[in-house]
Amino acid sequence: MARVTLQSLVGRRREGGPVIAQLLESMGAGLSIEDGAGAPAADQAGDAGCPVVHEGETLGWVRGPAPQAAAFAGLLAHLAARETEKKLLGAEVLNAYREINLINRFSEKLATLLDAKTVAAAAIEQAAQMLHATFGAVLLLRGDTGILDPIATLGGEVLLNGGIRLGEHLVGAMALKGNAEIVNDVCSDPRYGGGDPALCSMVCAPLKIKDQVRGVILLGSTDAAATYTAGDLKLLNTVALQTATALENAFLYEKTLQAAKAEALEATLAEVEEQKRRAEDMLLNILPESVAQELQLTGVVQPMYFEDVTVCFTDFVGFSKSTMTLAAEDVVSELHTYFTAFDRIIGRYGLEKLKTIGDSYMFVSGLPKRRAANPVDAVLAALEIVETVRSMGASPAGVHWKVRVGVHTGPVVAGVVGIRKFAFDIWGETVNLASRMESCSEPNRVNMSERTFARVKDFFAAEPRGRVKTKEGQDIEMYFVTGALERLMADRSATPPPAFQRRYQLYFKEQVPAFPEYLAAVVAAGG
Amino acid sequence: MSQKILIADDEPHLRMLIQQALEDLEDDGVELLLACNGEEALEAIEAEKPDLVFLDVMMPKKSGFDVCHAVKNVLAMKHVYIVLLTAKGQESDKQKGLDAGADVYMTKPFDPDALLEKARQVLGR
Repeated sequence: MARVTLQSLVGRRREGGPVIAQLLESMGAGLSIEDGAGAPAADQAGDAGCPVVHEGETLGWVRGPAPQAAAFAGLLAHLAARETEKKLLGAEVLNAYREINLINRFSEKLATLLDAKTVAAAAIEQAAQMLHATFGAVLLLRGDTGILDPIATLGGEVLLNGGIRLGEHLVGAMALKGNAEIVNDVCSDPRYGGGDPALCSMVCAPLKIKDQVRGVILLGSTDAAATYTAGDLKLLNTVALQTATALENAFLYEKTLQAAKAEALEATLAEVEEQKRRAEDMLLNILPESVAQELQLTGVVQPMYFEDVTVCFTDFVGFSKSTMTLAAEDVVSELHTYFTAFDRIIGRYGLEKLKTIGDSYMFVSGLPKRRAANPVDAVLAALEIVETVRSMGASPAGVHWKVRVGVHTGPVVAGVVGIRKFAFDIWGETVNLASRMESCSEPNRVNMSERTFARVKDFFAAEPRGRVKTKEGQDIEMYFVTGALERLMADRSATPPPAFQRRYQLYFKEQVPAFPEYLAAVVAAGG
Repeated sequence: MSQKILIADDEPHLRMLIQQALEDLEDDGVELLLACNGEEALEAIEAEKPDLVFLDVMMPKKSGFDVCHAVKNVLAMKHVYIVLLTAKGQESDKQKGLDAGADVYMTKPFDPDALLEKARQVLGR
């Protein structure tokens, strides 16, 4: 604090200066004031003057007639005492203002922090600055374990030995107590123990959230001469209150953030699942399930050889004419109607649609799952396709197509080729012959090869066509399927007819997958 | 001739606070002058020619903006370093203060240490 001088009391620019000058003049006794310590030499009149003494120190002298000089010196001493008091008060106010200013800035800073560790670090930094501490730590209770863990520390030379159990040693005991506390001689405190930091003096305040102690803020010094006061305790408590609120906000923010992240993650996962499902559906739409799985697992599909499958082709009679008379979209719409019906039929028989080529529809029986009954199933589906086309009649656009179906049984190689717009396909002479069967068929009839006939003759009646010349000039034995064998259809009490079912079971050790309703009816009518 | 700082604020406790914050300079011989309104501040500046003025904005008789403008533009005392010290913290007020000729604009509550530091810097101490 600045020393009080006579100059600072009576200077002309000072608050009391003009009043003193006026008083001095009005007393009119030749009084004068001399600033400075020590005893001055007597003046020419032999006047040694009266000392102005403040707190045992001579601030200066008042010269002049003894009674007035003594009274004036007394007045100045009184003013000096008041000035000192004023300065002390001013220093205290300044200190309080400085603290308010620091706390104000600390509040502003805390308002911008959303992370618990950053809040804790800012709190320690602020408190250490205000309390002149060499060490600081914020310890938080870890869940329900009762362990206080440091989340931020200052002053690396003093180590906290891991977590401190609530109630144990000095820091643990102070935290358990839940009140701010000063310990100015740490080592002599009976509670001091292994987990406590090696400090000479310490001040600690609880971090309370909703009246629950969630941790402590701890400040201390390794300087043996350092001591903390009640004022320090009050300050730290203020910092602790602000810190606790900021920590609570940080925890809430973290919780909200986690919840939002979890929600976003869940939504993303659901979206990914949905997309995956769609992709799988699309894949299943173009590939048999087992092939799709192999493609998904390994990225490639190995070519497979199938010794015994039945390949079918269908082709519309009158389609080319329709393309000339109908709008393209009507043609596509008609095709869609027919092919949708075909899709449903071969789905019921568990057969595999391979592709459509213009107005031709190609499917196969006996792959990818090998089935001994593949020729019978294919012929059943072929008959149902023919009957479906026949019974659909004329469409609103006036279309009434007929269908040719060709069936042949033999070996094929199946696989997926290419890397874009890949499709499951089959290759081999069997495919070519099946196509020949179709081109040599007649409207609304199922034409089959001798090889297929040999496999289905115990189930279906056929009309031998003899050797028929194909477009390529080959002569091939062909048969029109005329229906199910009559003897298998005698008992019509169930669908499929019991005799048909029994034979199918006997030959192939399984149930007939489906049976064309019309076939039973035709036979019934005929029978 | 000793260096001078004028503290102009209508609130006595703030005058005392600033005076207290600058006490170290006073001990070093810097003269601290006080004014409790805008008119007094302007008179003191004209008469005493202080090196540095801590000038409150909202004062009776004459605002800090007006005093600042008068000193810098009317009296043309450009060498007087003026710190506007006020609770007004809006950017527009700050700009108004700087337009009036203030060298620095500080908002209340001020940091006493920053105030002393600024004074030392201006006085070259």
